[in-house]
Amino acid sequence: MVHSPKNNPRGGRDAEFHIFRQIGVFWRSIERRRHHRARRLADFGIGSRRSSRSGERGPDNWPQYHRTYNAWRYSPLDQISKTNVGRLKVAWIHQGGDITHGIQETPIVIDGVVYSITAGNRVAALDGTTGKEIWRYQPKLDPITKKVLFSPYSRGVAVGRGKVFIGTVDGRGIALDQKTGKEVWQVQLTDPANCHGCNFTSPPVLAGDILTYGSTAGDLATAGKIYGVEADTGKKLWAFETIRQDPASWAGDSGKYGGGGAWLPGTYDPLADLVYYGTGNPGKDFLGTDREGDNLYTDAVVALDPKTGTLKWYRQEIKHDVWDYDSAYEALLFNKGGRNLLVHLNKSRFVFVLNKDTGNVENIWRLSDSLNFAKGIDPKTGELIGRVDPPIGKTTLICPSAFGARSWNPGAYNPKTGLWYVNAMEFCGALTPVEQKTDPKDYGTAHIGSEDFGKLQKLPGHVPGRLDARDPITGERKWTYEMDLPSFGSVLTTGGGLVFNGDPLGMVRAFDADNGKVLWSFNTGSGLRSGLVSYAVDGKQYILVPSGWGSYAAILLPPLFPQLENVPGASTLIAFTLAD
Amino acid sequence: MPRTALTAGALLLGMMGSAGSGDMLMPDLNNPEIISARRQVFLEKHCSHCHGANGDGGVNLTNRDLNDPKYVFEAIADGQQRGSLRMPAWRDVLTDAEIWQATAYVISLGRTSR
Repeated sequence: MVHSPKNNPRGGRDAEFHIFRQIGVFWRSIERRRHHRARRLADFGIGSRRSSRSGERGPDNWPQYHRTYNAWRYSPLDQISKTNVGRLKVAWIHQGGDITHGIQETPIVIDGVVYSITAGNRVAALDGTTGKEIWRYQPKLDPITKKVLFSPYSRGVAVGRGKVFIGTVDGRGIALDQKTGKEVWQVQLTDPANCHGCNFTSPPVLAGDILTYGSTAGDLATAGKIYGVEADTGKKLWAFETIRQDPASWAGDSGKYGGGGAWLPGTYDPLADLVYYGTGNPGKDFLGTDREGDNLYTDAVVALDPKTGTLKWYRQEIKHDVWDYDSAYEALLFNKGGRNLLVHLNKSRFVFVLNKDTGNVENIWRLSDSLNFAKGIDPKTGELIGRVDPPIGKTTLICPSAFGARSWNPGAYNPKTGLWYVNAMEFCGALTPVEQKTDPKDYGTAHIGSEDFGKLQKLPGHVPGRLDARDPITGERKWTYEMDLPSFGSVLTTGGGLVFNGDPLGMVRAFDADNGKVLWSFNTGSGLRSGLVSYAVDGKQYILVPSGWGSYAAILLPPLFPQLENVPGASTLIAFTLAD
Repeated sequence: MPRTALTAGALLLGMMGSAGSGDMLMPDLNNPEIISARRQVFLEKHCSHCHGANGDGGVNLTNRDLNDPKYVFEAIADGQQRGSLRMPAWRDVLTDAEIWQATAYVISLGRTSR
C-alpha cells in the first residue's frame, strides 16, 4: 500500500461522536485525576516516585530518550485516536531562545513536567499543561565551542534519582537538581582542546546508579570513548575505548586518530544489566589507505557492563568503513518466539537482527533500495560482498550517500500492530577522497579525507523519502508513504493507533498505523529535526512537537532540495491536545 | 609547504601596507594569484563542505553581495550565525593573514564580483 501527499490529502477532520465511547473516556478521565492528585504542580509536584529499574514510570510519562528501554518510542496513551485526532488543537507553545542549529531534542516528561534542552545547552523545566517555565539553567560554555564542528546543540537530557543529567558541547557531564535546576555536580570528561573538539551532543544513559556518556569522534582527529560516571556524585569510573588497541585492526598508529565514538544515546537493558551503544565511523571517513585492518570497534554495536565498562559482546556491522556508515543509531529490543533480539539499523541501509545475548546475526534486511557501495551482504555472517572503495583523487557515485538510508532520527515500534515505523531515504553522493593532514587543533575542519561529504544526487526511479511500516525482524513492508522530501524527524507511535511524523518544511502528520492514511496535519512553521513525544497530565493526553530546523542537514541538503534553502530557523515546543 | 602557499605568501609580503595590525596584512583582494592560491585553502579547510568548492553549495555565497572585506574577515574569524545556521570561528586556527586571503577568495565568489 503506497500513499503520497498527492493521493492522500489531510484526511478526515470530523470525528464521529460515539456516546458510549465518550462516557468511557469521561470515567477514565475521572480515575486518572484521582490517581494523579498526589502529583499536582502546586508544590512543584515533581513527585516522590522513584524510577523503576526499567524507567517505565507509567503510561503518562516519557521518562527516557526512547520512552522505554527497548527503544520503541511507543506511548500506550489512546485518548487521542484515529477517530478524534482531527480535533487536535494547540495547547501551548514554548520558545527555547537560541535557534542555532534548531531544536534537536527528544523532551523528557515526568509527572507533568517537561524537561527540555535547547541550543547552548540551555535546560528548562516546563509545566506540561501550560508550557510555563518552572526553572532554567544554562552553563557557561568554554569559548572553544565557537570553534568546534559539533556545537551548540543537544538531543536531550536524562532524568532520574532526583536529578537532570546533561552532556555538554564542551565535554562535561552536569547534574542538576530536578526540582530547582541548581547544579549538583559537574565533571570534565573529554578534552575538546586536544581531541579536535570531541564533546557530547546527546544525553547520557542512566543505568541504575551509573551514567554512561558517548562522545562525538567519527569525523574528528581523535579516538572516541564511552564514559561511566557515578550518577549521584559525578565521579568518573571508567572509559571504554571505541578504538581497539590492536595493530591487526589498525595498521601502525592509525588508531590514534581512528574516530569512532558513540554520538547518539545508548540504551540500558535492565534485564541483561547491559548498556548498548552503536559506535561511529572510523576516520578519516572516506580515506582508508592509512588504516588497514577491520578498524574495531567502529561501526559496531557494543554491549557494555555499566558498572565497569567491560565489553560483553560486539557486532561490527561494517568492517573498514570508507563511506561514513556509522552504527550510531538506536537498538530496538524484542522477544519473539522465545528469542531475545536486538534490531539495529546501520547507516548503510542494512538492518541487523542480532541475538541480544551474544550479538550473533539472526537476519539482515535492507531498508532502502539504493545500494552500490557493495554488491550485497551475507545475511548469516554480515560480511560485505563486492565492496567498492572509492579511489583517491577520483569521483565515485556512492549509494546511499553519507546521510545514509536514514539519518539519526529514530523510528518507532507499535506492539499493537507489530510494525516498525521508520523513515527511509533514497539518494546518493559523489565522493572524491583526497589526502588530508591530521591536525587535532584544526577544529573547524572535519577529519574526513574529502573536501565535502559527497555531492548529493537523486536516484532515478525512486522518490527521495518514505515513511515505511515494516516488520522489524523480516523487513516485510506493509505500507509506505512517499515523500518528495525525506523526513529528518523521529517517529512517534501511540496506543490510539496513530503514527506521527514531521518533515523539514515543518509539516507534522498523523497517520493511521494500520494503513498509512493521513488523518491530520499541521504546519508548525519550521522543520522537524527532533523527537515527538506523548504524555498525559490529569487525564489529558498531549502530543509534544519540537519544531526548529537545523543541524548539518539544513546546511548540506539545499543543493539537492532547493525548497529547503529558506526554511526559517526556530526552537519551539508545540503541545497539542484534543479540543474540548 | 605547497608551492601555491609559498607564492601566495610572497605576494602577501609584497603588498603589506602600513596601517594597523589587521589592515597591514590585508592583501590586494582583487589579485587573481591571491584568489587562486586561497581557493586551495578554501578546499583544504573544508569551507567547501558547507559552501561548495565554487561557492554554490548548501550555504550559497554566489548569490550574496559580499563586498565588505571587514565583514567577511570577521565572519570567518569569529564565526557566523544566520538564522539557525552556524559557521565555526577560525581565529587562532588560521592566522590573520590566512583569513584575509580566504576573504579574498570568498569575495571573488560573491554576486557583485561577477
